[in-house]
This record gives sequence, C-alpha cells and structure tokens, in this order.
Amino acid sequence: VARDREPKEDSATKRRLEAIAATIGAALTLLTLGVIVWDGVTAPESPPYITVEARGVHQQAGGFVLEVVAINRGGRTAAQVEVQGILRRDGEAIAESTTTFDHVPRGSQARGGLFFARDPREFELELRALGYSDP
Amino acid sequence: MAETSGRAERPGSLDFLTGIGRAFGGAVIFAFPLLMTMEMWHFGFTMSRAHLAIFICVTLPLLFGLSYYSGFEKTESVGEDAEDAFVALGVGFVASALMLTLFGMITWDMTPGEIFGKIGVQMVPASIGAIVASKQFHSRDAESDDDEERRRSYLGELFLMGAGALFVAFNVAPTDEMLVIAFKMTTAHALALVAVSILALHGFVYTVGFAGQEERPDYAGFWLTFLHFTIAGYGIALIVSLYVLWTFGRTADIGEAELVSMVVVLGFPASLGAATARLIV
Repeated sequence: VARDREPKEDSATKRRLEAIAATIGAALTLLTLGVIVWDGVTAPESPPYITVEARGVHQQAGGFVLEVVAINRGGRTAAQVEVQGILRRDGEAIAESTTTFDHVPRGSQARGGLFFARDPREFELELRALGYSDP
Repeated sequence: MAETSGRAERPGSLDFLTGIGRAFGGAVIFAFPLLMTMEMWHFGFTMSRAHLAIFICVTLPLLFGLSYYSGFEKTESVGEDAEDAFVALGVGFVASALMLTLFGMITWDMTPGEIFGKIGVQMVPASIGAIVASKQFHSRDAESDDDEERRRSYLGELFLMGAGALFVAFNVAPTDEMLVIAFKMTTAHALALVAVSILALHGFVYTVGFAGQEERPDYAGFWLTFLHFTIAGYGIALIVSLYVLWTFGRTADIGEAELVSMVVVLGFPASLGAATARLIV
C-alpha cells in the first residue's frame, strides 16, 4: 500500500540527499588533491635543514632531562635524525648525550629529550643534528 | 508490512542514511588494517606528492567502475555511478580523518600537507571499502539481472580482477616486509612463487566459474579459460603490482632484478585479489 502512496516524493528526497553527499565528497576530494598538489609545488627542492632548540630543563631523581625540539626548515623529510647535545665549560666538553628522531617531516618539528647527570643550565649548551637518512 | 516488502518502502531520507551508514561501516572495516599500519602514516609526508595526487585520481574511475558493476544500489545512469563514486570518496575521507584523529595521528601542529597527505593515502582503500561493502551488506535479492549481465562481460571480468588486485596488493604493499621478502628470495624462489600465484589464480577462476568458460568443449575450454582469465589475470596482477610499487616510491633506485622480484612478491597477493574479487563484489 505504502509503495503506491508516495514513492516519487521519497525517491526525490533520496536523490537530493545523494546529490548533496556527492557534492560534499567531490569537494573533499578536490580539497585533498588541492592541498597535496600545492604542497608538492611549493616545497623547495632543498635537503633537510634541521635546527635543534632547547625547550626546558626538568630535574629528576638522579639527573636532569633537557627537552629538545628538532625543526626541519628544508624541502625534504628527514628520517633517523640523530641529535646531539654537549655541555661545555670554557670550551671543554663535560658531558654528551644523543637521541634519534624517526622522522622530522619538512616544515614540521619533532620533540624529544636528552638526559644529563648534571644540570645543563650551568653549562654552555651545544645542540645540533648529526645526520639523517632519506625516508 | 514494512519488514516483508523491504527497502523500497522506507522513506527516502532513512533509506539514504542507511546507505551512508553501510558505506561508513565498509570504509572502516576495509581500511582499518591500513589505518593501523605505521608505514601508511609515514607515506602521508614521505610519499611523492605527484604520485599521491595521481593515485587519488586513479581511484575515481576505479570507484566509478565498481559502482557500475555493483555499487550502492541498482544504478540507472552514468551520472548516478559518478555520484556514487564521489559519495564513496567523501565517506572515505571522513572515515579516514576520524580514525586517524582518534589514533592521535593527526594533530594541529602538523602542516596541511602532512594532514591531507595522511588522509589522502588512506581515503583510497576506505572509499573502495565504502563502495564494495555497501553492496555486500545489501540483501541478496536486490541484485538485479542487469548487474549480473554487466559483470558477465569479459571487460567487466578483467576490470573486477584489476580492482581486486589493486585492493589486496595495496593492503600489503606499504609494509617493509615486501622488500625483505624480495631481498631474501633467490631466482628459484621467485619462479616458484610465479607458479604458485598462477596456480592459485587458476584454481579460483576454475572454481568460481567465470563467464563463458563452461560453454567451451572440454579440452579447448581448459586452455581458453587458462589464457583468457588466468594468464590475463596474472598479467593484470603484475601491472597493478608495479603501479602500486611505483606509487609508494619503491621502484626508485632499485636494480632491475630486485624490481622484478618485488613485482613477483606483490604479484602473489595481487593474484589472490584478482581471483577473489568476483566473490566479494
């Protein structure tokens, strides 16, 4: 009975909803493609350029942790980025610690920490990226 | 009454929501192994942007074809198949974005390129899942003779084999294991894997019963089926494997011999996908 009553109206509602969903889908697809292409076109063709900055020091039982962030301003993503921190006094290296970041995508940053037995704030701190591999 | 006579009598909006719900279910079920694969997240920012953009563009005709041969519902026009393809892409996008956010793989401090890269590579399997599963969750009686007719064309069979090969190969291609297996294999292993792939493919072709094969006389029938479906299917599986490897940047800086090994390795899951596509779609 219901089949004969309003089948046209119902299928028209469905059609309209499908058209809306398809439009949203097309818009999302175009947005994704747009961002990806824009990302590809604007990326500079330069190797990873990684700087390491200190973010903060926390005292822990038995030592200190220095929070660091590796920032990649280059044109390519770097994998296996090894970061080294050296504490110096009058140019002489007192302590050294390293960590490895799996990935530092271009235009992005990765966070980590270096452990030291002594307080890094009492020394000259040298932070640098030692190397990377292409992902 | 509503139960007995099925979906035709439900209000249009409810019917539509049910369809979208099925699509989301399919997107998540088909895509979650890849959503939970580490290499896939990394591809979001390491993959060549050109390869990724091409990959998403290739998905569109693939979804269109899947809609034509199965789809959300019985489609009557080319426009409806195109509409279904875009709905599936939208569902794939939203499902991927939600799941990646839920897993903490998308955060605000990422660049738009990384966020959309991650979603873009995941929305491919998710949208295939959306379009295939909505068909699977349908009641069987909804399948029309028209659909059956379409699928029985040789071109239709080849298309479905290609789609199945792509989906299954894509599910394992991102992992490093593909490379490791290729490096470990000797020439003898590779040849054996080719034979096993073709045998498996033929076994499925023979069991599932592809179009036209049963009408042939016995002896000629075997060789025709073997050439027309099994060997053609394996060829498609190899081409799809090579394309997927290229998409993921696995073909760069690789010697020819290793490349062939990798294609053969990926050709195995691709063959299984080609052989079983007909069972799923």
